[in-house]
Amino acid sequence: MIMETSPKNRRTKYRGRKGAIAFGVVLAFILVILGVGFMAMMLYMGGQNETKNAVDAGALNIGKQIVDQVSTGLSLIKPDERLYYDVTANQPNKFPPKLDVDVTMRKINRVWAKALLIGINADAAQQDQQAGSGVDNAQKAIDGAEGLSNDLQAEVIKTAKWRAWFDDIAKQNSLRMLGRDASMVPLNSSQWQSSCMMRGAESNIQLSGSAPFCLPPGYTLNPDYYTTSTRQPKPPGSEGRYFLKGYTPITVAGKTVWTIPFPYDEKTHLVSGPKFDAEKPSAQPMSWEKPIPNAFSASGNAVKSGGGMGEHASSCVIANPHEPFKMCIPHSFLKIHVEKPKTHWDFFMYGGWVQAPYGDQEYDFKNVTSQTGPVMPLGGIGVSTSFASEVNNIGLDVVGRTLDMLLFPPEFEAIGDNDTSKVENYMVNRINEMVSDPSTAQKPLTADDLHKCLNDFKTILYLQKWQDFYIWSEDGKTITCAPKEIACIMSPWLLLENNMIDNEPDGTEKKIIDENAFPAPEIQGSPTSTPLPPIPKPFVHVIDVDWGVWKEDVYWTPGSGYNGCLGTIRLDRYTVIKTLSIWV
Amino acid sequence: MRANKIHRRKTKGVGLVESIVMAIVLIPVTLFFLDLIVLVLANSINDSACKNAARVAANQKTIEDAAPAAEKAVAAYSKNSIIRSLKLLTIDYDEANHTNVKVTTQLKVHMPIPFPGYSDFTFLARDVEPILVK
Repeated sequence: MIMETSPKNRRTKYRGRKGAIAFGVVLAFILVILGVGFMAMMLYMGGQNETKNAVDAGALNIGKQIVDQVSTGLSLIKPDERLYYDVTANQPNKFPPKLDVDVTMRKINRVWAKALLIGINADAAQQDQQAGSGVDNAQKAIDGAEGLSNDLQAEVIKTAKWRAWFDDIAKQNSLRMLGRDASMVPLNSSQWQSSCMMRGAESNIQLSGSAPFCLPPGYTLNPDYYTTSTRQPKPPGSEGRYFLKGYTPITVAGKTVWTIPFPYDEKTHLVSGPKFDAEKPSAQPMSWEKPIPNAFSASGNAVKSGGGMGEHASSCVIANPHEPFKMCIPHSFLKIHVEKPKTHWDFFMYGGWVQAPYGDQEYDFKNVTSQTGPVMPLGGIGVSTSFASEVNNIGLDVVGRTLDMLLFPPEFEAIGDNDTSKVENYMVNRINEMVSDPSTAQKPLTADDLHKCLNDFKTILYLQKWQDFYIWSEDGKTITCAPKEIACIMSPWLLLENNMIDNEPDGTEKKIIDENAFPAPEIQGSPTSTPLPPIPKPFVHVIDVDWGVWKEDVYWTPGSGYNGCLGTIRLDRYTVIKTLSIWV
Repeated sequence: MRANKIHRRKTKGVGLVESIVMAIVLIPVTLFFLDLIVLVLANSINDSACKNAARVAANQKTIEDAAPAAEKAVAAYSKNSIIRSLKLLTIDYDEANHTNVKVTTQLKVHMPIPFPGYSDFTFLARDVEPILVK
């Protein structure tokens, strides 16, 4: 029996067969669409990544180049700018010196730090009532630093310069996911922004050691002005280092000093856009009128020559020269003036010891000598005249001694209250201000270094001829002491920088050691005396004796360092011959 | 009855045949796209490794430090049955002027569904970064 298939059944089967093909075609189509779409998305995302990477690299190059390539010239004509030659020249000790010196972001904190140190010296001198013209000079120095800073800021914010640095690197990076013809172009470069980030973080200016940072004796730096590394976690090697705080007003000598934050051991790196925007001076104002920014933004567009869909990206970067410096005045010196030694003659009169108003005699550093003292009317008790006569062994206190033994006589320190630590403190402070090597911030120079320098046996020879000595740093790490003629040969900048070595300190003098004394050994004389007229009865001779006392006075004149002179120590060594004559 | 049987046999096989035919087309297309995606991802990984290597090298002061640092950055990317090798091919560090560092990495990818003659691909990525330290 043949059964006919109903038209309905036939239709169903027909549909089923054609449905499989249709399903297959649709599925294939969807798969192709999905695949192509996914591929396009992957390429787009990859392209986005490449664009971002290229813009990041370009922005990083801006952060790198801006540290050294943007500059303002240092005027060697203006004295308030010229004084920063030592902290801005690449080789400040080189002879002949390079005359075209630029101030860059790498160096500007050094300029501010030198101005700050001059201000600190002036303020400390003012505390001791020895300021003289130090505060005025410090203000001039700070004005000079501010002028340089403002000039540099005007250059830094010129975005036209950033574009070339961006192109240098961004254009070298691949954009192949967007097509072979894709290339990177800067986007709205005139509107690239700058920001002042990491406010209150450390600058790259390190202080000497730990508090009180080898600053002038008695001076305390406000703890709000300095900080340890603010990075978290603290980088290795940051322990024990103290830095000036960046973007923090530091008031000194009645003026304000600023530094830019450059965190310790941090390199130029990318930062988040919202944070960048939040710390722009327009969003978060600063009291620094013309702040030098430390963060910069850049945008780039990846475009195809055919005009296809491109990508754009923005990056923000914070710059860091990655080089710490020490707060210092590298081209500076400390002067020691040694007065010619003298013999004073004292006589015991009724009211006590009186120095003869005449008869002072000089002696020298070469030979031990003998001297004849004056005749002093009424120079004793019951005498009409006392004659100190000839005294031997004058000069034992200075002959054959190094400068250190003159300034800090060891026998003096062995007895009584002959404290020379005040001199030592002033000198140790000043020698630490002149050394510039960053290693000396970690390990400041000590009193031992000072004594070692002054104990140079050559100073025995120098003393035969010279009375003025200069301590300066030739290499930024150690100190040297020599007279002018030798110092200028060793370090010509002492002469070439406007004859710096002849400059006197800008403070006023004060005696800081008053008559340290030590009984002079082996002083032998044979004084004589004549009694008063025998009224009402003849006088009887009791004694004619003399002895010597070695003495030391030290005077300190502080220098702010504005003219290179950090101060003068004036040493006065003398011998007092005391003659005692008694008739009763 | 016989004619009906013949007709039923014909119609029953068509669906299967169609499905097989469609599968023959669809499966390779799917696998092709899978391979393509693997290629794109591999290329992206190569780019990323190259960028990281260049960034790390740019943070070193000398070529002696830069090369091992870049090697280490590249080595951090794990290899598997698809990514057979990823290595630092060249590093051009401008030690004299400290301008920039150019890094090239090479990634060899083994296709998950290899096509005859196209089982392995090699990608090169190049990145240029400014040297950030002196």
